[in-house]
Amino acid sequence: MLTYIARRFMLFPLVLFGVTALIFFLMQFLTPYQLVALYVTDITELQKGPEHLENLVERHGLNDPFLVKYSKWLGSLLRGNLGWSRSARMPVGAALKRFFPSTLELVLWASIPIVLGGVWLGTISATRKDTLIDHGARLWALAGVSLPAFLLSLFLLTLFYTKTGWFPPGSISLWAEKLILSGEFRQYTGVYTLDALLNGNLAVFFDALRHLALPCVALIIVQWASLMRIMRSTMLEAMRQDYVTTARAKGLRERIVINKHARRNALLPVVTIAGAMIARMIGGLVVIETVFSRKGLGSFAMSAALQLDFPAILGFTLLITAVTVSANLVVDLLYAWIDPRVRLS
Amino acid sequence: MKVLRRFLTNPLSAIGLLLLVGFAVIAILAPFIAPPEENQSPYRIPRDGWMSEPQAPSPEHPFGTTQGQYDIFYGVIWGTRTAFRIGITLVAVASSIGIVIGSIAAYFGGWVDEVIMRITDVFFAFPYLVAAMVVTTILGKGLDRMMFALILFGWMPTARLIRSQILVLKETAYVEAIRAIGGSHLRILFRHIMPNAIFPVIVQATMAIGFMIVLAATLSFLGLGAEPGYADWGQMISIARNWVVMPPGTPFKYWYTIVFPGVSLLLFSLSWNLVGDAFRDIYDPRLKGR
Repeated sequence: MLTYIARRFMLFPLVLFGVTALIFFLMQFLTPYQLVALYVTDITELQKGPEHLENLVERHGLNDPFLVKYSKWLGSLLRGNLGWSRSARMPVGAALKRFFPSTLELVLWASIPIVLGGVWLGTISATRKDTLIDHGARLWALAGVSLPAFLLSLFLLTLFYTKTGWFPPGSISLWAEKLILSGEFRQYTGVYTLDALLNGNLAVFFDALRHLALPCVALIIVQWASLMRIMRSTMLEAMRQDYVTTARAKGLRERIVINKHARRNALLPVVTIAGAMIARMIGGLVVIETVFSRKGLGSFAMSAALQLDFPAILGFTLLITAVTVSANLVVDLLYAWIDPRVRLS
Repeated sequence: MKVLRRFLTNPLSAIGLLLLVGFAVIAILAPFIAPPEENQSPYRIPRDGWMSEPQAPSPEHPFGTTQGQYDIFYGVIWGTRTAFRIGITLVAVASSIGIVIGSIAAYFGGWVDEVIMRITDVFFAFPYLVAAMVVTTILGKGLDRMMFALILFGWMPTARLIRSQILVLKETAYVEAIRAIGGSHLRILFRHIMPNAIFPVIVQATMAIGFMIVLAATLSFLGLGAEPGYADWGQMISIARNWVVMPPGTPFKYWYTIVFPGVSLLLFSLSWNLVGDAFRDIYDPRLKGR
């Protein structure tokens, strides 16, 4: 068990190291003169003529051999300097810290219906296999997988904002943002809905909720399909087991057999996909946050990628990797703890 | 035949198969349904004037025209060909790369396996969409560059799957027997292991086509894929975006700019997912006989 955890932790920095190498490799496709643009902070520097650019290339070592450049870059990275994000106009570390709560808020609010709805739909679908309900639930799940997040977001935005004006895009209204930034409102976590409750300000709470509703719905529809599908198949597996037959044979009511005997065991393997679900969610978040113009990690990554803001892309990827790897580790340990048959080695 | 019957008795897979056949017919008959203009690439949507504002459906343009007077009907029909081409090429190339890498790792094992799988982990660490966006932007926008980027970061699931398949088969008695009578590495791998390991990969690939199409459309929607005027659904939705969301009060005035390409995209990816799901149900031995 301990060696297992140790091995996992040893591999983690190895993967992170690989990530930095790959990003740095991708950066090399830009010429030194394209890269120099990353260092130009003042437009007048560009007007000083080609010799000055030559100087800049020299000063920042952009013509050095690959390994020299890489070790320099990695060195500054290891000292905790993630670099400057052009697209967000702030240091990468600060940007990640600033955008994280908004994304966390969206994910937290969305996960409750995703988990409950996915488990519920999966159970229903399995216990009524090959009925109309089962077909309906499966079609709904597959439609969720097939539906492009950007199309769904545009549809929701058109219907509930352009048409009715109920749920505006963005993170929060202007008046609420002003209030939050003023001294009277204490920002405990940076998560708007939570902070508003802690401050006892219901107006801000409902305003944040209004902005959260549509992206949440979009994320739920795109996400719960995968959970529903895996729940259905593990539930089918569980209902074939001998202990379920035994429970039925001793005359327990069907509802108790399904809820207490079959579903509890069917839920076990479902826990293992939590890490994969987080990874899947990232793609959806990037698109959804962008279409709804929420300021979060997803839209940060989107603008960074489109502007080739490499420090920001790296920072984002490292954060996502750290989150997924630790989620997977926690899931593995949790799994071994809930299910005594599993032994980690 | 048995497979086909199982496909048709399940209503969901029957719908999927029917949709897919329908799309295939449209793609094959595209030159007859929407004849291209002479001396023009058929994937360029013909335009009727240069006006910016989309025009509602009319006898001349059954689905209306989108921004820049591109004919939506033509775009939807030829977009079917683009969708097939993108989906199948992406999945075929990415899966082939994955098969080669995964089988090398599994068959040789040891440090080869360890190194290859750690590299796979690194590629997996990148959020797929973001990685594809970065690579496409570096290479300069365009459909083929976008496809290259999607392949570069799309081979890992197949590699992992085929590796786990081969690891199981490698230990079976029949492979040991062939090794004992002196079969070469390549012969064992390609003649004896691969045919048994490949089926789950095919199922996975079928499901991946729907996913890949959606991803490619997302990149086109972001302006990284096909250029304006190319018969590609993602691109068409991208130019429709401003006409649907922007004008306050009249959101449904230009509905046709987004509904036709949007519904085509949804149904196309749904049909592949339905067929892939049915494939999995039929060939997953654990689900047999239920």
